Amino acid sequence: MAQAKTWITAYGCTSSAGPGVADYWTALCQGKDQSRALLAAAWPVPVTFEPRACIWPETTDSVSKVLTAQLLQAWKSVEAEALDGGEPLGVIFASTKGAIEDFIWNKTLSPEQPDSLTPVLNYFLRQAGIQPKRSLCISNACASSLSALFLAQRWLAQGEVTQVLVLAADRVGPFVTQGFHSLRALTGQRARPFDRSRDGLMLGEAAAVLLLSAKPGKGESHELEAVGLDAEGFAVTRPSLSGDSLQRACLQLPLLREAPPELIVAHGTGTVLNDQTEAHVFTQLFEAARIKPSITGTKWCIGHTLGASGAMDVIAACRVLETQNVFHLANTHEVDPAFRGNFLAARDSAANFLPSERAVRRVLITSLGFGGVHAAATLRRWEG
Amino acid sequence: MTYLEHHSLSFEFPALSEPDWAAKVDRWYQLDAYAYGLSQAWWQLRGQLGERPALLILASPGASNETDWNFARTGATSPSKFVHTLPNVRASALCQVMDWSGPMLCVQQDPQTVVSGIREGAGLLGAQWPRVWVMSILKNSAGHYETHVFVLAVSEKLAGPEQFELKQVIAQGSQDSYFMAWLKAKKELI
Repeated sequence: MAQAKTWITAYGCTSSAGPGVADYWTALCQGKDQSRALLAAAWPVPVTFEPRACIWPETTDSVSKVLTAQLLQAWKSVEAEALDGGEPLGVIFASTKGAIEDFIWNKTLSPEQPDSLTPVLNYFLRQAGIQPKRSLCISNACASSLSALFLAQRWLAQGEVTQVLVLAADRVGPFVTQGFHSLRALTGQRARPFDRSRDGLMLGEAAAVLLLSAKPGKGESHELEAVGLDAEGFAVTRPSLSGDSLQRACLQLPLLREAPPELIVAHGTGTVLNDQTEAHVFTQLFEAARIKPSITGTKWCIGHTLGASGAMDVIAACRVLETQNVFHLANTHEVDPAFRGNFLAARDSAANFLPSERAVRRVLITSLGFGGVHAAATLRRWEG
Repeated sequence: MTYLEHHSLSFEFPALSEPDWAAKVDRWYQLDAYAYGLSQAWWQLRGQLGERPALLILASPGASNETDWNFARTGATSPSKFVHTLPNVRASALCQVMDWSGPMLCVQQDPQTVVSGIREGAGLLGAQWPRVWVMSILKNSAGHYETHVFVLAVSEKLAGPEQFELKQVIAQGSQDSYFMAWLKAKKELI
């Protein structure tokens, strides 16, 4: 089955930066780190550290209600395009553990209850009044969003639907925060991807909605060229240092080496091993390129939004293609000297972006997930 | 014509002895029932499963609820339990045991997770991925589980005696419990 041409015809998001794409983009371009202290006193487990994260305004609502409300907010930017013409629609929800907080601490419930993602998807569909032709949840760790795009492209190629809505959302709570803390994966201060003194990741919350279509939309559309996906058996929490699996995912993308992208929106978590692996793979892939791609990322700003992170990176890439402004890694002041590559470190000015020196026509986005799952995608500016 | 071949393995967890594949997986004794069950099934059934898949789908009802519970009950402090609270992570040990890498999707849609996994596998089957495996683990009772391996391919590529036309399987299209009952009845007829 050949990959169909696929366009991203509309998108929306909410994050710790605010309830819209404009808030997210402004935070990236102004270099605003959204992290803040979490109110952990009421958590069902004792916390022995001072957790920080990039979160939505705090509320006592259930997680499924919060996730649905945030997805509905993001959906507002997409609704008109999605429902125009009554085209058959597929819906894929990408997430990880956020929704588990609703029932995991309730001792009266049993492990035999259904998975935690499907109820959120069904609740969203009811609230949005959508009756999709097909729907599914994907839980591929932090590569969930790009994995959903991988499947969405195939759904469009199969022809049963002509549009696919990719929903991606995750929530930060005691389960996830304590878990990452137990792994010693959290930074105590700021996430500094690719910095020589990086010491861990910052968790974040976000909801994103991407509309994929088999034809360009009425507004500005971007071509999702391809999505590569690979799983490896190396270790559960870290990629192989050789980066073989990420490289295999990247090399599924057509002509990646021959026509390198101008920009990479890297996974860039700020952990020692993630960034090391990514830097190594980018060097391997683009060593022979006459002009090396610039490398940036978003997690210093809105945190690592787990299952939603790939979709948030895709939205940032769309904004770069539209504005031709390239945002930098605002918390990264000294790139790790072991890394070769054109990393966009912090700027010494109020603005954290620069108009690109050359036209950005193609952007590579990467995601690395626990369990050795890796994904990569390229977006192309469509000048139809 | 494309077909589905079904294999299954019952197992108990925790394991009573070290598995034969223990040396292939770092700290195998920290795996949860689901990661253990996938690896054990491949090891025990590898002579029947034929060629390895071009694409793998994991589709287990209840995702990682049981492991999530176990992690929460520790006070959410055990890193070795936390790492298994993502349902895709169980593929890591499987990849090590069967020395495999490739595209993998972990899908959920309770109460139709298994049926959805097979449906997606059927949709992805083709020249690019001529052999798709859908792997599911079902819990029967405390400590007792079953791993199910659904091998999807064109008929010539399948060797087992229990093959079902994929169209017919997908036409069942109902909840997992009905589908598994239908499958069991069909196998008894064979």
